[in-house]
Amino acid sequence: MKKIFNFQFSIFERKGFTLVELLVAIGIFSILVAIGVGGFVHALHTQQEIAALIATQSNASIALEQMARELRTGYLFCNDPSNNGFPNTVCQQQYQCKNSNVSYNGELGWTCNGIDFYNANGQNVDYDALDVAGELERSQSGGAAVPITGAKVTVTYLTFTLFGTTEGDQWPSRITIAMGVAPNSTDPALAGDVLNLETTVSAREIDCTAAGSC
Amino acid sequence: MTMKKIFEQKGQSLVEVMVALFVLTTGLLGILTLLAQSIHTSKMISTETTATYLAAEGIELTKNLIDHDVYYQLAGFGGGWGNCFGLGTGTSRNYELDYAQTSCPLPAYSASDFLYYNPATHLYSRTNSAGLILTGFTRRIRVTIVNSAEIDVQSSVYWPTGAFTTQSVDLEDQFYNWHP
Repeated sequence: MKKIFNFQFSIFERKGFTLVELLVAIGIFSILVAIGVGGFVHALHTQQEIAALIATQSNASIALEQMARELRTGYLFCNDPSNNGFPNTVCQQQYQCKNSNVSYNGELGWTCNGIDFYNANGQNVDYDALDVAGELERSQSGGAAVPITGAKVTVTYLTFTLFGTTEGDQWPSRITIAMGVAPNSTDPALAGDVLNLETTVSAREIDCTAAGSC
Repeated sequence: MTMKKIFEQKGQSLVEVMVALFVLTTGLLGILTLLAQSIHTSKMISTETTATYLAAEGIELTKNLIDHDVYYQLAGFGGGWGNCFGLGTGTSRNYELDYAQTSCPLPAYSASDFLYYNPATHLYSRTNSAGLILTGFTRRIRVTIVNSAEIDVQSSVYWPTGAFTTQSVDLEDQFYNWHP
């Protein structure tokens, strides 16, 4: 009996928080939680930006490596059908690039938006980013174009600057590849974040001095 | 636990709770700052990617010029292996070049010769002209004549990462006389 009495007595003696104390506690807690959540959301956003940047770098690297390797071991960057594909004169514009988007680049030669050549296996290969906007594509032996960059990135430009592609000019073919790759994102923090890559390849194929000597 | 103990318990005071939350939040923010820092690192890697391909370009351009000397001799014009550099065995020299370098001798390297980016043609060149954008990159091609049959090429691209710090990508390749 005594225990029960004490129990009831203590309930009425207990003191709780006042309403003001409770409000202050909730207020402070809310502010801290808001800061914490804000930081977390920011971190998630940052994480997405980093993932986009990494995707850009890896896509650009793998595409550029693939092109550079195939060009280095390739031949006939100037394909003149009127001379069995082996022009002895300066390579004509219409045979320099597969595409009509050609600009003359001083004495260095021609800059093209695509390249058409033969790889080490003798297959006619074509690289360009013209068919589907923002996508680098490769086609082989006149077959369908296959994208070699992913949907997460946009290829903003792709040019090939050719020098020494005329056979018998005492120059190994020199191909300078310039490629711009950006994350395919609507994020304003990534706007204009284009990776401007440039590399040059010197073809290892021996410069042919006469038709059919390659 | 007896009933008595429960009612005698004391909770934390508001101040204690506030201090605990403050410490917790500070710790969390520290981790979040670290994450934000990683975007800066990621952008630095972008620069490094660009520099790596520019350094690889230096190697390929040198190979192009070396092979040209051989073809030129084969066509009966004289010169030959390593003629572009005019160096004796065991000596080396620092050069610079760009995609448009089609003649020898090569210009000497200077740490103040930056590469310029052309926003119209998207090409990097070592000489400035109207409309080009200055990059922080300098490229040094170090050619060493190892012996009569071997040329060693070191291609380094340097760029500043702060007021007093620079970073670099260094590539090296050896080329052998394939037509002695």
